[in-house]
Amino acid sequence: MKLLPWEYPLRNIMRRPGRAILTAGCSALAAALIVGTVAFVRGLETSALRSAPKKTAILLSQSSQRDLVRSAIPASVGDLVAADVRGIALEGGVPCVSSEIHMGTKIKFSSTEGQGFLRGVTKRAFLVHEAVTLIEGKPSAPGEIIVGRLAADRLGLERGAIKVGSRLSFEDREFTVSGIFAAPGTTLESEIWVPLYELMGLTSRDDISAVFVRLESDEDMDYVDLFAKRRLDLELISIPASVYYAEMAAYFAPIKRIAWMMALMVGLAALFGGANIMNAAVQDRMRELATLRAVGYSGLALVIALLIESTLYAGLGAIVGLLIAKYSIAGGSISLAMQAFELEVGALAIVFGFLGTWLLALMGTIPSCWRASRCQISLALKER
Amino acid sequence: MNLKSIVIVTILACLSSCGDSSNPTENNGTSSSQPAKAELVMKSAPQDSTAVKAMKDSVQDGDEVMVHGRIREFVEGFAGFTLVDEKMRHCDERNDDNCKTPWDYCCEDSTEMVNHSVTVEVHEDGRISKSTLSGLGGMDRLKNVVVEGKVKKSTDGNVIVIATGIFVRP
Repeated sequence: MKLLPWEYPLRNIMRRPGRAILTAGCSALAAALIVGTVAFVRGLETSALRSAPKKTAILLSQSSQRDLVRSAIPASVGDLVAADVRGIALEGGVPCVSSEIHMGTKIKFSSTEGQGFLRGVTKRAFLVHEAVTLIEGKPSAPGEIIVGRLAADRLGLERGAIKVGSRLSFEDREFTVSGIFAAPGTTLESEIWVPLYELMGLTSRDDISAVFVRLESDEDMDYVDLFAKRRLDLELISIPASVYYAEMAAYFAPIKRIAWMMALMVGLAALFGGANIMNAAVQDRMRELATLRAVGYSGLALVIALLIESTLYAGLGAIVGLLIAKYSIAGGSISLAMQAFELEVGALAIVFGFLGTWLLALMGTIPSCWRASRCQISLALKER
Repeated sequence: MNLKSIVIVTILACLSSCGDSSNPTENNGTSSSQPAKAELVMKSAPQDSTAVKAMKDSVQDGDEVMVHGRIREFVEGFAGFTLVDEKMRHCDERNDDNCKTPWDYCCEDSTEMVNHSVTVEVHEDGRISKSTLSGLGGMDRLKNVVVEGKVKKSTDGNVIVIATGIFVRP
């Protein structure tokens, strides 16, 4: 089979720059949309899953319906667990047991007020939540707090608006930011960490939300469950942290489905638009294609030339689309419920963007390929 | 020569078969724990057992007790379960309830559940045994059982029964 020279499709693109720009623009928007959707869905899912500290069990109240914010357990549980449960990991002889309060409240910063997420912690929280690293400042002393890198985003402010030394108010009390922490790829980054006993005083609570227990191995989780079932008077349940955060990720499944559905609908719109453009392009070149058939090129050779042409449009569009995604989506953040997470344009999003755009382009070329391969040479040559 | 070989082989076979019969109880920890657990299951119903709540209200640390109730749930990875007073109604006993996990007693008040529940454990060498009781002698969630054992009561009032015998009601 004799194929058309490779520069033929390239020259066709150059012949009609206006149409080429519109087609590539259509592909670019489709690519940016696919990349954005993948970044959103992946961010939603992985930020929750990555927030689970490894080899860690969570003790919370039976009546909380497996929700840390609703949970209330005696403040003494942390010490009881440290004394009774076997297999707890030790760091420098200190048991990795973190008593915590989880709550949402209104946060005031300068003239801005927004809903934020507070975690009441002791210094032992750093032994359990190993993803957290203090990147600026120092741990909090009384009257001080540390904030996640995305806490400002959560409050609707610009990234970095909250700095070391900034003053935040909540629960009728003003706190000074003593440090900024990072916990890449997790929802922890949108949190504000407050000294546990100060938060208990502020909220008039004599209980805590939960106890996080880091163990030496996953097999030791059974000892935490045993503790919960032995101490019936404390009304506790034990859940592996990985299970708790997987349940949280599953909670967002309907949002992920809607995101994919919207991407699919816009993708279909791009597909039909692209098919229309390619069909019009073939219609305009019917005499030219018939001439090529007359001089000996087969219908398949024309189809291959058209597919190369649409692949070039898709490739050009995908590169532009990825640049749009890189500068408008990557590094941005999404606030959802009481958390916020960062959008990452990773390898998966890029591969999905390229493949998705290419597939849309190929599918959009099918009607024009059909038409080109079935054209009647004599009739097409007579067309004006 | 042949007769001598037969005699030696016979003696060796006898010795090895004697060794085999002693292995499960002496050398293999898992096998040795099985008979001990099976012995827990009582063949006839003990008399004069008390309900969980009545037992909890009256016992002292170290008391020998005979308590009856219903199994709520087993302790994951250990020989233990939560025993609930038969006075408490699980979700299947409520006509208007279609709960898929009736053994969690989610329809009952949680404080009442604490007052009407006790943990039952089977110990080996002074520690809770690392095996499950589920299925032993027909034990299952919501099965009625009678437990004979010794009470371990903490200073804050939490009661655990260290079982020495369990009767599973048909």
